[in-house]
Amino acid sequence: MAALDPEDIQLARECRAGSLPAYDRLVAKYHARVFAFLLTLTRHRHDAEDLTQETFLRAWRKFDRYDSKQPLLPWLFTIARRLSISMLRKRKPMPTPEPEQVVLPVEQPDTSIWRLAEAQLSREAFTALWLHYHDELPLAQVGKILGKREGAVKVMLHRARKTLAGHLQQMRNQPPPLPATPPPLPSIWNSAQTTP
Amino acid sequence: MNDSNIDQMLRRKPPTIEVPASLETKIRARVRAEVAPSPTVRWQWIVLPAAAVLMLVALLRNEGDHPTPPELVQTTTPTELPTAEVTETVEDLPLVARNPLSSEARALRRDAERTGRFLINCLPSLTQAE
Repeated sequence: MAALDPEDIQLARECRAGSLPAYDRLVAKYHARVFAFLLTLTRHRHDAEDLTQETFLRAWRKFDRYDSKQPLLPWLFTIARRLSISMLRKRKPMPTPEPEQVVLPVEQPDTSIWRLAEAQLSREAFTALWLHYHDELPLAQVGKILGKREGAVKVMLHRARKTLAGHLQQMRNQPPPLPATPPPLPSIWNSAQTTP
Repeated sequence: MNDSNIDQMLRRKPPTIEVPASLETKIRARVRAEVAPSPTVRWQWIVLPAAAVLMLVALLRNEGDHPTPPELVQTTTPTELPTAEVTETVEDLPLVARNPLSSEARALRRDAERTGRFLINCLPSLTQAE
């Protein structure tokens, strides 16, 4: 289990007492990560934005149910995931898009692996990858958020890495693409927004 | 390209996602809207108790305007009935008169009148007999 952040403990205590300034600090600290997590689930910016608002509203209403022995961020992620599932269930089923062909830019190999993961992995596998590598959550926490056992998450991540390795190998063996401009890919992030 | 290489690549530079600038403000606004009662609710809190008090006062005032129920025994005043009314039955009398004591008094009075009339009728015959 991840160690509890002392600042989070203090924030949780104040929020439970109904302090709005404390909740503002909590929103400022975590809204971007909750939004990013919801983007991996929904792959739609507008939906992710709406669900982020809904997540923090729900968290405010249910703060009395928060277990202060548990870290705060996974609790927010759990609420966010439940809300996203509820939203997806209400919608009509959409046709599954074709898998996207991703051409990795040579100058940004680290970002491109995430692009490849987005295009080639299932939503659940990509979300697990995101939680473990991007948010640096331990496997047990990832399992708790996704409603799976730790072993199942471990297997899922192993398969995801294997899939990515296979695709990378395949793309490196292919001849370089033609200079024709490929159509823009619907990606959930901009390549210019990568962290240094 | 093996599993550990991918692991290293994923850990090395995780991408960041562009968050809408207004998102934080929107979240705060929604939470504040949840906490603060809406103007409608505030207006109701002012008006409804006052209306309830006014209704209560109006009800109490109406209750005070009602006359007290008539006390049958007290309101029945013994009246001298004319001779023609001797024949009427108790059922024909108004409700306030259906007091067992008053009807008894009326019967006694009727008997007394009959007796008196009988005596008056008898007196001339006595004088005539003399």
